[in-house]
Amino acid sequence: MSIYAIEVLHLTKRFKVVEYNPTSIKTKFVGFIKSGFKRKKRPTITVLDDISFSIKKSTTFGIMGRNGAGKSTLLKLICGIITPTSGTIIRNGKIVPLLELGAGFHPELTAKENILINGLMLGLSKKEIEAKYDEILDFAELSHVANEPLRTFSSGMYIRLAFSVAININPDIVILDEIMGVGDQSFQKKSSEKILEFQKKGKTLIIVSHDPDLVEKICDEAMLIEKGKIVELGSPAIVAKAYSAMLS
Amino acid sequence: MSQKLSAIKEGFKIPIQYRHLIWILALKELKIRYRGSAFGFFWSILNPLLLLLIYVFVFTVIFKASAKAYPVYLFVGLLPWNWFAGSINESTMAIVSSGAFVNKSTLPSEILIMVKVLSNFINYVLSLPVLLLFIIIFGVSIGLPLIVFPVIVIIQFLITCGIGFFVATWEVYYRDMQHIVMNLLQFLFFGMPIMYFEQQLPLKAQKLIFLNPLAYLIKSYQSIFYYNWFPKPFYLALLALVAIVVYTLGFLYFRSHKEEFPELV
Repeated sequence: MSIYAIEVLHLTKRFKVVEYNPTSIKTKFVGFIKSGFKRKKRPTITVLDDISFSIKKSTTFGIMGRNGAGKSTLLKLICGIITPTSGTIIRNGKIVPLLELGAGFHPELTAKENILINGLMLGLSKKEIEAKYDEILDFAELSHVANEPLRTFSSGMYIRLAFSVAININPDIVILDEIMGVGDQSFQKKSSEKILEFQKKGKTLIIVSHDPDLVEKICDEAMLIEKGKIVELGSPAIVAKAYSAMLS
Repeated sequence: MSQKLSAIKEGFKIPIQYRHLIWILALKELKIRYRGSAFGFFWSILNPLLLLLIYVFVFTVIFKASAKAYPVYLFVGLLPWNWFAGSINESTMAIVSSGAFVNKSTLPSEILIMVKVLSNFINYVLSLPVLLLFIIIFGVSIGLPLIVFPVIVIIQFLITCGIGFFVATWEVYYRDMQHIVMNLLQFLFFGMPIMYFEQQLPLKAQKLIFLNPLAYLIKSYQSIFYYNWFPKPFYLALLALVAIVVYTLGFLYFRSHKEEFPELV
């Protein structure tokens, strides 16, 4: 068994540039003739450029970076939602992608129905979810409205429910994309307690955050990326400082 | 080659492995469709009934169709057609309007097409009692051939999913697909003996319409619900083969493109 939960080796990701209305037949046809009957190659943009790092098992890893630095793309690659242009990612353990809170939530369905759908989409079985209904609703402090449709919820209630589902499933590797700090203060406290519990249980956590204090406090290692390259990798204190310096 | 083979195996494994999720998502589609409406699921019955009324009026009153129990004949073909057309129409948009499912989750997006086909199937099943009622009212005899019904249903499932895979993929690259599909379905509808009997066509046209496997499918429903015949085993076997081939090709085509979906949707 490897001591690493995630190993990323020389990872590069390029996206094809999507122009507005890229595939209208007329445009294509005219372009095709103008270019002397050669097929036009779509321009690409490099989002991640030859990135290598590894995350040890049972540690908490923080990823920082400005908007558009490539953080979300990196997480999607780690989860296996999109495939790398080149390079490899080795995963040891079950990953649950919590890239968006409440994936599959629908306003017309009740809290309970939404928990079921969301849980199934995150890879739980129906039985597992049914066993966890109460736990999830309790944690979200929404037991009293379990059978109300989601559209009647305030946005705070909505996000609490989504976070509660996310946090109450039991993966080996937890990926949290900027979803810390939801809800009011008491809920935030409960959430960070849950994170500590994860750490104690020996889970691997990957956290994307814009909050230097948070990263410094809870991460064992961290990484700062900018324009698809690693700027800083190692101690959270240094990464947090570098991030603050970059912003100011 | 062996890689292709395991991909094909997976195509048939996905609906089994994710049956809970597919079932619950299909129910969700229906719930959302009817939630808040006073009639609720009753619309699944009411919609085809009202449509039938129009057709029956046009054909028996205006065109003076004289066939025995014509409304039953019409209904028998119209219901599975609605299942098919509804599924294909919705499958076209399945990937492009899926949002988080394709972008943010690692579940196989094939599920989305199966969900559309299943939710339309549930709709179909809900309207079957009305069909039975019609059959009784018009005194059409049905019997043993009904045991073939599950086979025909499975065949339609496979064919519809297979075609659904293709249209859903194309829609990602060309948003024209939804309009093309809508129009093609219209052509297809009139190109099949649903409203009319194939004997009413010139001989050449009869041969032509049966180049379309879906025409056999509709014909199979008519044989068990209207004519009280067993569908010819040879044609049924051929249809099953076509269904498996269409499903497999659709699945493989979808699979070879789905890596790009999260980037394009």
